[in-house]
Amino acid sequence: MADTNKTDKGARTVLVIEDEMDMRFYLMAVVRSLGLDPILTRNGVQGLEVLSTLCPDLIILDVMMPEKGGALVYQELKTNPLYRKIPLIVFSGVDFHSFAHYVKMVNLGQKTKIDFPKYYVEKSADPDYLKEVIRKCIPLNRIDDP
Amino acid sequence: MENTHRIYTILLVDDEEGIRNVLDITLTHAGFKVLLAADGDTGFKTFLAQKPDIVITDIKMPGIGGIDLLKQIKQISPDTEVIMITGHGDMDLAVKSLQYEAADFITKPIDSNELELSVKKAVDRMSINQRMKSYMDDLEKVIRKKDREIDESQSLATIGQTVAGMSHVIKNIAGGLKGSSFILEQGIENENREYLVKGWEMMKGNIDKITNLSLDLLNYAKTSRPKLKQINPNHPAREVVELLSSRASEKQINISLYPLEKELSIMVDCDAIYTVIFTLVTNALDACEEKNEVSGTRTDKKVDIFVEQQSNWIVYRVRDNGQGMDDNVSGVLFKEFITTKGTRGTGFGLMTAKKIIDEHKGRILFESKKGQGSVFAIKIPLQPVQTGRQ
Repeated sequence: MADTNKTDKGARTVLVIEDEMDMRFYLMAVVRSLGLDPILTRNGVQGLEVLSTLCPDLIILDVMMPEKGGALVYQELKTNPLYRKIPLIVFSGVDFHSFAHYVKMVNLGQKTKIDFPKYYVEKSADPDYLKEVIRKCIPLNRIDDP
Repeated sequence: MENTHRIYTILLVDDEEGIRNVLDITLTHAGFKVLLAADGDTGFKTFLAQKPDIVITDIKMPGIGGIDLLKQIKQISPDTEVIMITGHGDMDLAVKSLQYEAADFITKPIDSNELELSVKKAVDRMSINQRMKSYMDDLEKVIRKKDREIDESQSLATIGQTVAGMSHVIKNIAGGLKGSSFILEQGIENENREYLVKGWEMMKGNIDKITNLSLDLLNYAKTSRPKLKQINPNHPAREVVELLSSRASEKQINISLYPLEKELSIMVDCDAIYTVIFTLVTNALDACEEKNEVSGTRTDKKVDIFVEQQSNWIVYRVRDNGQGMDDNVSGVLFKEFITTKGTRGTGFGLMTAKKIIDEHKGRILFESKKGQGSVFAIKIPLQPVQTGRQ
């Protein structure tokens, strides 16, 4: 079970799913600057592979990726009960409206609707803002999990 | 017989004087202008000179027969109504004449009612055709107007898309710059060399991106609206020749400019005209070069550029003795993105040239013979010179 992988005392982990190397490095630097432990993956397939072996405290997902596109990964993260509770930051080059429109389209005619992302950070945002959002996610995670 | 709208002209060709006289009286009385000819040859000459609306001709005549006359007339003027006059035993000829698109035939002895009916039918058909034509013309005008509106709305849509695409690209570059400066800061703070190297690379990459973007934008702006200025027409041609002469001599092609000697100026977008001449001369050089590759024979390869005045036009002619073009290539040259240069060409050059020349209300013309070379000419209208202004 994913939950059993978590330890209260170990460094908290952040799964980064981002195809662009520069951006991956940048996210790594941001995550490390907060004293968190980044796990870097370069596409959806790799990201989901990591998720099947451990449960991170946070996922940062780029929704504009080739191969297994970020939007599809988003869908999977939101529908799979094992992953749904993991805090997720959508990190994206497209603006929120475009992504929200995509989610609406996916939900058309579906019984179980997927949620809009709670945390959405555009790639052009200030690093300080991104850090703030990450800080918000991590304590939330601690409160939610017994 | 209704003939109230306009006076139609009828050419009557018959070798029998009696018939000519009778029909002349009948048709003139019915309100037509009648022209007479005694044989096919005279008939055809009269037809060419007077362009009558309707021709009535005897089938059997000495010299050029009725059917040959019919064929000749239909060849140059398919809309002319031709009515044949046939004798009793000429049924075969009558049927044959219908195959050659005669409007009708009437048999001798000619009954005036039959004649009037036949002519009336021809007149009706002509007026229907004319109405159809004017409807079609109107329709075409409407379509052209709509087309222009669509073009305009499309170019607005294109601008919208471009702006949206641009803002996306700029945002990503801004993101990259922020990211790289963060990494650099972290590197400085922690004395981490890997961070410094990576951050610096990332920043340089984003500087390249924004440089390229600004160049793309500049090109886009150049093609979207001409900036008109009075210039000496030799000016852009001279610049092109100066720029390309070293490339030409490298390929052993003789390039010469024959400038306009008279002092005058034209109102054009100098950069755009430069782009067009540049495209034409580059194409000419390529055509010369290709020729060698194809045939292997040695001729003195040359490209000549002429700047000339032809009445109210300034004409740039670019002539090469290169490989020339097939007819089927030259037909689609300005419409489609077509390249004959294999992987070297993009097919954009002449399209852009055509667009620029259209914007200047000019013309672009060419003549090409496979294996012998091509001449491309662009004609730009001379504006009336404005006085009292700088």
